[in-house]
This record gives sequence, structure tokens and C-alpha cells, in this order.
Amino acid sequence: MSAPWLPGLPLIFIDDAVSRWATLIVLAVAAILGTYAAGDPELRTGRFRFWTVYALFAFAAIAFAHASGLLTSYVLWEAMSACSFFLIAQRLDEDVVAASVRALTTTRLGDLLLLIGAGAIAAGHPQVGLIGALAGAAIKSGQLGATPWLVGAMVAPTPVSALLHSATLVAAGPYLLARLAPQLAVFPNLLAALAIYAVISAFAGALFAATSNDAKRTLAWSTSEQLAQATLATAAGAPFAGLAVLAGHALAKPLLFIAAGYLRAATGSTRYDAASREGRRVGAFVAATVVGAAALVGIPPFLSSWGLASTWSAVATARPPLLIAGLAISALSGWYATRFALLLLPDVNRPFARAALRPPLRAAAWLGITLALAVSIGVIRFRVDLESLALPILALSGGALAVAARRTTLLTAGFAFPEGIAWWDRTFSAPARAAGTLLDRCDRALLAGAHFLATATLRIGRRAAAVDDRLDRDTTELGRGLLAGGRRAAAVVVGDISRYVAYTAVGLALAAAVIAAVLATARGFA
Amino acid sequence: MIALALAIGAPVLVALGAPFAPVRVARALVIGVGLLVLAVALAALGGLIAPSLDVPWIPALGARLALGGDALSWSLVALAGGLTAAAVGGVPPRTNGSALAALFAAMLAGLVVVFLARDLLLFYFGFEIALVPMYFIIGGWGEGDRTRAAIVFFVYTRAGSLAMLLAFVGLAFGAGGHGFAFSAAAHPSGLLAAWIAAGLLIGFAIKLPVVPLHAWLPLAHTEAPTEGSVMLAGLLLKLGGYGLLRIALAFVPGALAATAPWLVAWGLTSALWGALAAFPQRDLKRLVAYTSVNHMGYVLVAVAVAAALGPDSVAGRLAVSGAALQLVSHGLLTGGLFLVSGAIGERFGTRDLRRLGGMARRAPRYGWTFALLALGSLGIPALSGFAAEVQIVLATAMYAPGAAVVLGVAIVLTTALLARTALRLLTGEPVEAEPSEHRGADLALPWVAALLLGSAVLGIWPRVLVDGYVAVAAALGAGR
Repeated sequence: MSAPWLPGLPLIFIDDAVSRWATLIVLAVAAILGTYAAGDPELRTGRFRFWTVYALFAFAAIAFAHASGLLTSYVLWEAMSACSFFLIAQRLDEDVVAASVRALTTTRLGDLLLLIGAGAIAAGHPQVGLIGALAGAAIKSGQLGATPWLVGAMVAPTPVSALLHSATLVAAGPYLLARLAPQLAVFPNLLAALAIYAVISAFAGALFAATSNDAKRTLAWSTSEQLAQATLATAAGAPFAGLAVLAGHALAKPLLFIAAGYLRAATGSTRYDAASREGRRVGAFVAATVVGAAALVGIPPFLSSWGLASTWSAVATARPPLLIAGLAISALSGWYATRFALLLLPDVNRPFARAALRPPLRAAAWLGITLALAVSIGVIRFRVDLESLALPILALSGGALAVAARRTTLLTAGFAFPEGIAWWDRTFSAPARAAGTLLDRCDRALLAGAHFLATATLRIGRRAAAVDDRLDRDTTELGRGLLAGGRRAAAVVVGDISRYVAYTAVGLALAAAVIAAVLATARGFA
Repeated sequence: MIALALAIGAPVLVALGAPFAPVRVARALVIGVGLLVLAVALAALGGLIAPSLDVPWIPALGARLALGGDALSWSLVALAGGLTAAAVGGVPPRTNGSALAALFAAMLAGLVVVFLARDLLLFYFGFEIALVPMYFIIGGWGEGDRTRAAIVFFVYTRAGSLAMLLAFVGLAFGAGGHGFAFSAAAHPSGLLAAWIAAGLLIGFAIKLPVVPLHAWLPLAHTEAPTEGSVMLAGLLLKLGGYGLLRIALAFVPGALAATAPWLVAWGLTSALWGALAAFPQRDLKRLVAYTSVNHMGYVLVAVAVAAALGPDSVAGRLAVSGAALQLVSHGLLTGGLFLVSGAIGERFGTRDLRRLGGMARRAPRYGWTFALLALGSLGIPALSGFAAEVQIVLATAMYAPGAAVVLGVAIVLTTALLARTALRLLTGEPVEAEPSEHRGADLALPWVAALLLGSAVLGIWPRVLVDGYVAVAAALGAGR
């Protein structure tokens, strides 16, 4: 199906098994988080605006799932970027402003790189074009080097962060790459570079997730890590495995966000050390935490189990050396998921916390669990080969390994990692502002220069005018003298009629001179 | 014929009559004539009428009263009519309002002549008629340092006009040309073409404007009264872009193609400069003015790409239609931004960004309207700026991916700038000063809503104009 948007550039949509599954998952996630948002105390104001943009956002994500070709994908990427800007900017505080502008700016950079890639492909440079698309996808999915916006977007209300982080905005990158797999396969060098980058990005994401001291930040980095593994699947020649990782992640993440949101509502913070160990547990959130963590790391029967297993099997076949990194990544993700669950489990039962637990929040948790199970079983029932579950089991056991590796990890990277945001502000905002100030000064200097020129012109003009005045005076006197002389001569020599003849003669001579001049100039042109 | 008489004659009559009418009547007349011109232009765009005229004017110079239009011309005529109505209707009446209204009608007449002219001398004639009223508008009704702004504006503009006129004379009488009419003028090559291209580029680059010929713009836009800023940004800048497309690209494409890499670099520099120089601005209007430098830089890039690859190549068509759509889109959105900025200034007594804020609570309609316009201007989907930028970026990527990346950076910088400004207005502490009880500022909102609607139509369904622009590009290609 195509919609004639611009001449020669129609928006093209396809409908296949992949896009149907993706639609189902977007709808499931939108339903879970919509239920949550209905009860979220943070979303009390601006509800109409919120739900409009929420619906638009889900619609754009579904349309993107059906998009065919880079241009159509680009248009819907931009639509998602714009919606996410409004969704993040729900609560209008200073830090929210910074985060939403950062998110919009970064994701738009990714979008534009994709568009430039589309242009390069149309001009007959497929490799340049695909590099553009890869760079765009990496930025869009918050891979290493473009993570600050992903972490920053955590200041949004919980359902919004969850939506951005699961099935929609960030998933757009690896999804597009999976769709581009046939085109990418033509350039093995590109795929090799992509695989290495994805492994590094996944490792960094897992490492930072494991070492973060804040539940929401753990989730942000884990998004980066999971999507890197989805990208890796495509790079290793198994795009369907990548799609399964994406789907599994999309179903698991909302549950973990619901748990983190409960932590925030209960204790006013999402830091692990803020979690009180007193009080009664709330069943829905315990279940959401456990199920979400299990689904994320890929424990059967959840979708990620098949996806991650197939991904790493493909890597083992295509690029065996990368499997070493795979072990570390699995270990780290097992570790951080376990840590997340263990730290969140002891719950609180303070009055304000009970008040925050409105029925929709619990409903969202149960809905999320049900849908994650249902969709996973649905997919696996029809697509999975259950033999390849060795690696997710490794991932689980890797949790124990990680405990041993913890001390080393903390020493190497540690809590000291500045999360990139300060770096981003230092390297981007300050020079931009400095350059802007400089250029502003240049402008003022230019204007001053123009002013100087104008003054100089005026001064010259004044002098010229003075010269003119003197000339005028002199000419007038000369004229008067001549006239007087002429009159006297005329009176002597000729009468009135001859004077008219003389005027006419002078006039004709002048006209002839002008015409001659024009003709001469015109010939000069020709 | 009747349509042309309406589109040009009616503004002239209003310009002559309005000074003698009461303010209320004069304003109504100008709004009416603006909407009339808009209606004629829409009818022409829809193919209902195809008015044209071609009679001798000054035979000795081979100048003809040749008027006619294609999609490029009529879309800009429509913009001129609509924006004139919005500019006059969107601000409260001022002292000597009748004379001010008459100046707007005169400017509209000049603009319609420029956009429809099929004769270089007539083009120049309309160009000058459109510019002179602006001098009086800034000098007479401006704010702050208005005299200086008016003089700087006029001197820059006249310098540009002179360069342009010399180039026109060269086109009319050099290298086989035998008159000013488009049909009679030469299509020169070689050294003469280079000189003519230089003259045209200087003339149009001042008007567009392109760095470093832009220093008049922030000053004039800031000091002009709100309605003057709307016309300056919305229409007078378009004269430069229109001239590049209609005259430079048609008559000296070879010279443009030969220098295309330099022109692309020039346009990119201007786009980056405009975006960066906007960051430290404190005055809302001055900030918006700098985004114009940025957005018009894209137009120069697109024109250079079209010249380099040929206007009727795939990329060339994208570039021509992208540049043309960018002109119309920028007119709608930036015109709206100036209207809202002026209204905010009027309502809160300041346009200083350090003192403005808290509009989400205090003045939500102003705040959110500004935000929507700003997002349209930075190019979110469903508004017209997006459709224009997509085409320009694609065309540039087909010409040189590296240049497109720089263009992308410029777009991202504008994104950061406008998104930040919009949210700054909405958030934070409200202005200390109580908003004035003067509700005149509310006049702007319905007109801005109309401009936004126009932008949305073009963003969702750009083919209403772009199909015509592609035909223009094909004609440009055939004329080589």
C-alpha cells in the first residue's frame, strides 16, 4: 500500500507476519502502560494533551512497523521523535526541559542521518547510505556514544519512560536494521563492523546497568544493552532472532518500569538504598518484578529466551571470537536483573504509599504479566526450536559468576562513571553557546563595519557636497557672467527669432550626443 | 485579465484611498484586499483561472507588461495576500493607522507584481515598490533604534537592488538579448554570465539574506513594528529566494553550476551561523529573526544543488520544490512566530527571554501556540517545514552526503534552539509584571491559527503545491 505524499516519494507500507507481530506487541505494551498511566499520580495535569500524544505515538509506532523503505521509516521516526518530545515534557520543570530537548535533538540527529542515507542510496551510493542508516539506528536506540538522551529521558513520568524504552522509540533502530538485513548482507565488512560495535555497546550497557545505584538508570542502561543484542543478531545474519529479542524486551521492560514506578511512589526515589526494608509486600509488584526480570534475561517460556539463544547461536556460527564477550554480557545481565529484583522486593506499607497504589496500577502489573506470558507462548508455540536454550540458561547461571566478578567490575568501571550527561552538556552546550556568542559578536562587528562605511560615506558625501556647493556657486557666477555677456552680444548681433533657432540647434546637438553615446555603449555590449 | 486587475489594481486603489479613511475602515480595506488577493491566487493555483497579460510597455527597452504565473508565482502571491491580511489584522490599531494600512496595501501591490512579472524591468519595478513602504513602516512605526534600523535596511536593500539592476541590464542587452522581457532576454555564457551571476547573487543574497550580507536583518526585524516584522520575514526575504529560482536558475544556470560547491558551502555557513548566533539572543524577536538566516541558508543550498545536478534531474526537482516549499512554509510559520512574539511583548511588556516564562499557567494559549509554531519551524512531521526540509536534505544527500550531514547538524541546532525556547517560555517562573489588561494582543491568535492551518495542509498534503513546483523545475530544465 502506498500513500502519494510527495511526487516520486510515496509513503509505502507493507503487511507481513513481522509487522503483525510488531503491531500486536506495540498494542500490548500501549495497553499495559495506558492502564498504568490512568492511575499514575504524576499524570494528573494536562491529561487531554497526554492521551492525544500517547495515541499518536502508538499509532506512529504501528505505522513504522509497517513501513517499507528508508523514506517512509524516516517520516515515522520523526513522528515518534516529535511525540516523545511532548510526552517527556509533561511536567514542565527545568530538568525536564533539558531532558526533553536533549531527547528531541539527539533522536532527530539519528533521523536525519537515516534520511541522508536514503538520499545517498537514491544517488547510487548504497554503502554510504547504509552507513547513514546504521548510524541513525545506533543513535535512535541509544547505543554507546548516544546514551545520554536515553538516561536523561528517565525524568519523564514512569509510563512515558517505559513506553519510550520498550516497544516504540528505541526499538525503531534495531527493527529497521532487521528489515534492512538483505541489503546489509551485500556488505560483509559493514556487518562485521556492526557486530563488533554492537558487542561493545552491549557490554558497556550491561556493565553500567550492573553498577548503577538507581533502579531507573539500571533500566535505561539495560535498554541499551538489550537493543545492542538485537542489533548483533542482525549483524550475525539472524534478523529474526533480533526481532525476537526486541519483542521479548518490549514485553519485559514495562513490568520492570512498573516495579520502579512503585518504588518511586512508595519511597519518593528510585535509588536502591532508598528502598525501605520494612512493611508488607504488595503482591502485584512482587510478581511484576520477578516476572519482568525473568522475561528480560530470557528464562523460558519468555520470548527473550528463544531470541537471545538464537542470537548467540548465530554469533557462535558467524563470529566465534565474539562469544567470549557474550559470556560476560550474559553474566552481567543475569547479575543486574537479579540485583534489581532482590533490591526491590522488600516493600513498604506507609500511608502515602498505600494511597499511591490506585487500582489501575495493580491492574497494569497483572495485565503486563498476562500479556508477556501470552505473547511469548504464542510466538514460541509457532516459531521456536527449543533446542537452542543453552545460552539463556548460561545467562541465568552467569548471575552467580557475576557475584564473583563483582569486585573486579566495580574496581574497573565502578560507580565513578559519570553517566555521560555532564559530559554531553560540557561538550555540546558550552561550545555551541560560545560559538553563538562569538558569531553574535561578529554580527555586531559587521554592523559596526557597515556603520563605519556609512559614516565614511557620509563624511565623503559631506565633503563632496561642499565641493558641489562651491562648484554650484562658481558655476552660477560663471553662468551669470556668461549670460550677461551673451545677452549683451545677442542684443548686438541677433534678434529674438534667431535665439530660438540657436536653442533648438544646441538641443539637437545634445540629443545627438546622447544617442551616439547610447549606441556606442550598446555596440560595446554586443 | 479581470483577475490580474483584482490582484494588482485592488491593492493599488486601497493604497491610494486608505490614507483618507478612518483607521477602522482602512484596516478593514487592507485585510479585505489581502484576502481577495489570496482568493485569486488560490483560484489560479486550483486551475480555475489562468490570467496572463503581455503588452508592450517601453518598446525602446524591449520591456513588456508581461504578467503570468505558475505554481511558484501563485503560491507566493497567495502567501503575500494571506500574510498581509494576517499582519494588519493580527495587531491592534496604531496611531496614524490609516497611513500604515495604506503602506501595507502598496507593499502588497509591489509583491504581486514581482511574483507575477515576466519581464526583468517589471520585476525590478515591483521589487522597489515593495521595499519602499517597509522603510517608512520601520522608520515611522518601529521601536527603539528605529531610524537607524530603517536606514540600514534601506541602504543594504538598495545596494542589492543596484547589483541586481546591473545584472538585469546585462541580461537584457548582452550576448544577443534584445529586451527586458523574459522571452527576449539573453541566456549568456562565459565571462558575461559570470558577471551577471555575481550581480544576481549579490542582489538576492542580501535579500535572502546570506551571511555575511545579513547584518541588516536582525536589526530591522527587531526594531520593526510586529506587523512589519511579519512582512519582512514572511515576504521580503522571499524576494531573494524567488529571484534565485526564477531568474538566476533560469538565465545563468551554467555559472551557478560551475560554482555550486562554493554556493552550497556558502548556504551551509549561513545556516550554521544563523542557528548558532540565535543561541545567545535575549530578545524573542531577534532570536526568531536569526532562525530566518538559518532557514534561508537551506534555500541557497537547494538552489545550488538544483543548478549542479540540473533542475529536472531527480535531485534537482526535489531541490527546486523543496526550496519553493521552504519559502512558503517559512512565510507561514515565521510570520506566525513574529505575530505571537509581538503579542507576547505587548501582553507582558517585555520580550526579554530572561524575564518571560511560566506561560503554561499564565498564558497557555500564547505559550502553546508559540511552541507549535516553533516545532513546525524546526520541522516536525505534519507541518509544512518538514515536507520542505525532507526534500532539501534528500536532494543535498544525492549531491554530496557530507554536505547533507552539515545541513543535518544545522537542522539539529535549530531543533535544540527552538525546542528550548518554546519550553523556556512555558516553564519556570512567570513574568513579574502583571499581564496588561489590554486584550488587543488577542487579535493575533485567530490569524496565527489560520497560518498554522495552512502549514498543516501543506505538511500533510504537500502535493497541492509540490506537483506544480515539479512542473516549474521541469520547465527550468527544458529552458537550459
